[in-house]
Amino acid sequence: MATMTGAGAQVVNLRPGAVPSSHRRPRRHGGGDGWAAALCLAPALLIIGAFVIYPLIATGAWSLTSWDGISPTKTFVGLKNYGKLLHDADFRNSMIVTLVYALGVCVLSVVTGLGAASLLNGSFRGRGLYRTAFFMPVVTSSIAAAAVWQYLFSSSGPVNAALSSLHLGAPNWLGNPHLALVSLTLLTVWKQLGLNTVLYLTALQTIPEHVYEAAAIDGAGRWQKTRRITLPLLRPMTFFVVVEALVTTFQSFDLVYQLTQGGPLGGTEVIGFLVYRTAFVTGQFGYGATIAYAGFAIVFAFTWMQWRFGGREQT
Amino acid sequence: MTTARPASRYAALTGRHLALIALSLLILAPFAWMITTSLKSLDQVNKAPYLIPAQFEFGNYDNALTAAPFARYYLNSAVMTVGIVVGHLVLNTLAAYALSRLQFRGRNAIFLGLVATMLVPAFLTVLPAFDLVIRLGWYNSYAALIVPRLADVFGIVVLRGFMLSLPRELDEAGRIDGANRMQVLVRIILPLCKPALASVAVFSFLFSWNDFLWPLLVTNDDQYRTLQIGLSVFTNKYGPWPNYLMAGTVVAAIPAVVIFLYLQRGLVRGLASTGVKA
Amino acid sequence: MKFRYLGAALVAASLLAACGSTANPGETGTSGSTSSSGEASASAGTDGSTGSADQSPAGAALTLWHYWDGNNADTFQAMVKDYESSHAGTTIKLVNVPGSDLLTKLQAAAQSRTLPDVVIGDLVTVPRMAQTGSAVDLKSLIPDDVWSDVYPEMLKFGQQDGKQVSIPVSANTLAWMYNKDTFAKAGIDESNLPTTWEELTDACAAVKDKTGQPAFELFTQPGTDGEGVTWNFQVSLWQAGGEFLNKDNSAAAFNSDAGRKALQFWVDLVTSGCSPLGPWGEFEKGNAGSAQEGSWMVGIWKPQPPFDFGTAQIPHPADGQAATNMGGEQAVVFAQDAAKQHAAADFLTWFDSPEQATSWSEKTGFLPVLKSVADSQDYKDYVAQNLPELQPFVDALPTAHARPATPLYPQVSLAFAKEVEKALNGKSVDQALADAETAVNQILQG
Repeated sequence: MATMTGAGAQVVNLRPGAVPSSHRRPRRHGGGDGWAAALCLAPALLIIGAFVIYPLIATGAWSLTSWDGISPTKTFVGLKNYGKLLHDADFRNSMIVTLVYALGVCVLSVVTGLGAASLLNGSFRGRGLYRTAFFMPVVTSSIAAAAVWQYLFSSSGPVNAALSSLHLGAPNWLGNPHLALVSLTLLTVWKQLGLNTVLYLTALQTIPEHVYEAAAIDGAGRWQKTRRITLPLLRPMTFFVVVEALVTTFQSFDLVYQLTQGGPLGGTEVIGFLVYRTAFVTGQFGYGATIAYAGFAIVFAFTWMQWRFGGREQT
Repeated sequence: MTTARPASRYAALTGRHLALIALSLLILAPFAWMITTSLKSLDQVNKAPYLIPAQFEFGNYDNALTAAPFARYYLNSAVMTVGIVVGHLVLNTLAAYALSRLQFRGRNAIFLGLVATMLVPAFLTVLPAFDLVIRLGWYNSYAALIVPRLADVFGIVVLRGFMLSLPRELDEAGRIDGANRMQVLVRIILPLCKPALASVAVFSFLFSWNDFLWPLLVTNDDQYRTLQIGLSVFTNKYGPWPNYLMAGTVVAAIPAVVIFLYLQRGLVRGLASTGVKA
Repeated sequence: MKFRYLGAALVAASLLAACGSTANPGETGTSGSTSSSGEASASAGTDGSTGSADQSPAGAALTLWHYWDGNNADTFQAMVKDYESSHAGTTIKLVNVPGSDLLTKLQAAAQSRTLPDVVIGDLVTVPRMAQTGSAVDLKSLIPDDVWSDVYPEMLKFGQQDGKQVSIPVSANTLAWMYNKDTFAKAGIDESNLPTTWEELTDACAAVKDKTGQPAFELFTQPGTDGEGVTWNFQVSLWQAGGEFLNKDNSAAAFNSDAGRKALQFWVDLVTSGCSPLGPWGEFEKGNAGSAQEGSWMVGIWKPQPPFDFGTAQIPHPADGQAATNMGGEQAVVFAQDAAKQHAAADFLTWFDSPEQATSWSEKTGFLPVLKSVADSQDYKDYVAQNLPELQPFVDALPTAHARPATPLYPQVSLAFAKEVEKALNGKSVDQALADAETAVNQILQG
């Protein structure tokens, strides 16, 4: 309904001839809600500003140095590190590994999350039990999960024992670079499954029943309902799950650190691990910062494109 | 609608249960192995039976529990987690409210700027952040574990997204009734945000409970060390003894599971009480 | 109305301030001692929580970082208590930092000027620790008779611009560890173990046939820092008569006949199935016949061995020489305050005196850093009676080489290890060594 309120925010302004429709939200004093917004944002911005943004800038400054992380002096080298990056085979390998890993995790996260959520959607007995079962990997520590995975997928471990008994061979899960990435991907998806399921459940349950009922009245079958109603309505959540998966894979460190340490042959050397190793292990903090920034820029570009061309929420 | 369920419905339901059981078993298999191994003696470890040990060596747990001050680690992880979860719920909500339902210049720019920081790996920001924490005099304390993480962009994004889906009319109605913006937030918007708040609480709990690098850097002794760090030491030490390692892992994992079971009901209630009427 | 949330903001701000002030007083000190109420020491008098000023003329409150755990940590703790009770005035707060994270924490501490007083870390990291610029020259603080008793190779790591910035406190070497059951099943006679590469290769076939297991596990994956591969490979390299880097650590020296011979040996072991190709740990889990292991394993396994194990010298090429690698921990002092430096030096001198060093070695299975101890009858008798498996490691001490002491070593090690991994996975030996040389030279020459 149209209404006028005294201070600031207005959705529809009915004063005749006052404001053209392109200025639907007139601002006064630089934003009518300025004070309230400032107060609401201040605590969070203070924390994030001090402990995320300032350090981010400081580290950016360090990417222009050849600092080893431990000497008292930092030697400025300008963009030399970035030049070095262009010829760095390890960096190229790492970006490929990271993107393949991210792709695998994103696709599997969506598929398994949505699949499990569909199975759980509805009211039936035992639902809570299943949900808990799915969520258990999520609450397990990464270190623990990766340690368990190492035993399970070792050449002489239970997984291969089971596979051999079914005459399916005994792959070298952690000794072959490609299989190692597969193992890592499975571990990551397993660990996140409960979360993705819950997210999709939340989304599925906000789709009102009557939308389906109306469609049923119009003669829509199950597949059509899924395709025309469910999937499109789930797009924001899918976008969210994908971003969540991207963030996880890009930041991924604990799992790789414990499971494969980037190997074998760099097959699981995701960018997060490369940065850690470069900066903290081999003592090249300036260069490590450079790698992180470049990798971050690339992944951010991907995410931005995703945002632009799919699943964008209204702002 | 009808009281008698047709056979096809039973079939569907059974099918659903079968699928769920299969999926659950697959997901829980590593845990089964974990628990089984933790109860075996060393020479039985890599051999069948894989799912249920022939003999139960509860002594492994004794060993695991006395090898490190787990009780203290739990306490520290708990204090840190509670602090962070509460912080997130309060600070993120405030920020999300501003970013979704208040009008001011630069709103989108601020939000985009925040989102950009989400992809930044933790270890990029760690050293300068650590330096700052030292200068504030918080080294080896709960303050160091909690304050730098009192707010996070992820929670803001989740809450803002949810708030955006609530109709503007709600604010309007509140304002007409004379409420100021804070009251609109607390009395009208918040109660509708339960699902999102529950999600944020769960995410924050998980992030905090499993966090490794930061607590490692800012704590110096067992008085403030968290569970993950203790567990990491465990893992390095007990490589050749997977039975002890798994006992320690189980010990570390149980409380999180229990807590989740508790939070999970809240999550369900939140989902059930979605206030947005179409 | 607006006051309501102003009030909330004030409350929040004061809560934050309160959080800050519950941190311990004296926190902003510069010499790195962190006060806390969880004092680990039991010395009379000094309570340790009210700051770092020394309470008595000859003592100080020190903070010491180390990465020992389990039995070793307990033994160290007991010795520290021992020292404190006989040296009233000095308290030492021990902090255990997991080994893989020690340098990370040190970096953070260096950057924020909160370095601890003493750090005991892996000897290979000493040059990096010295990069902080805060490592103290111990030459004049510790008496000469200690310096002359320490194995000279060990001292190399702490030598910098004429200064001696570290002192060894424990040592270890690599030797050959084998699974007695596996070898027995394969028909290998314990009193006639292989001593050359050729004999080892022959034994492999027997082990494979009779037990299905690989006979000799190599370190085939670089892991986080590559050092696992590098330091194991260096044994083979030195045995073949080669060197890793040149004398002044300015160029690679491994791209030589000896290097090629050693790498080819490794490649052959893998292709013949004598060594598994995968993550390290098969031998320790009982799935491989033997491996090069460090002396610390004896102490760790003795109370509860995963299986019956034996030890011997590592086989070397028939036309080569016995050699092994040397590891261990060394102490670096960072305290800038003179009183603390003296207190730290005093403790380290006490720790590296024959009596303490003997006791320390006996209780932990670490090898002694003092020649006088390793050669003493007491120690030999002790080992023979309690840890006979340790003897080959002790015997190997004189043949142990030191790795290059340069802060660039971690980069070098990683680059080298990656090439070895590629060779083990099919890349030509010549190409791998050539590429490794290029990479390493680029690191060393900037």
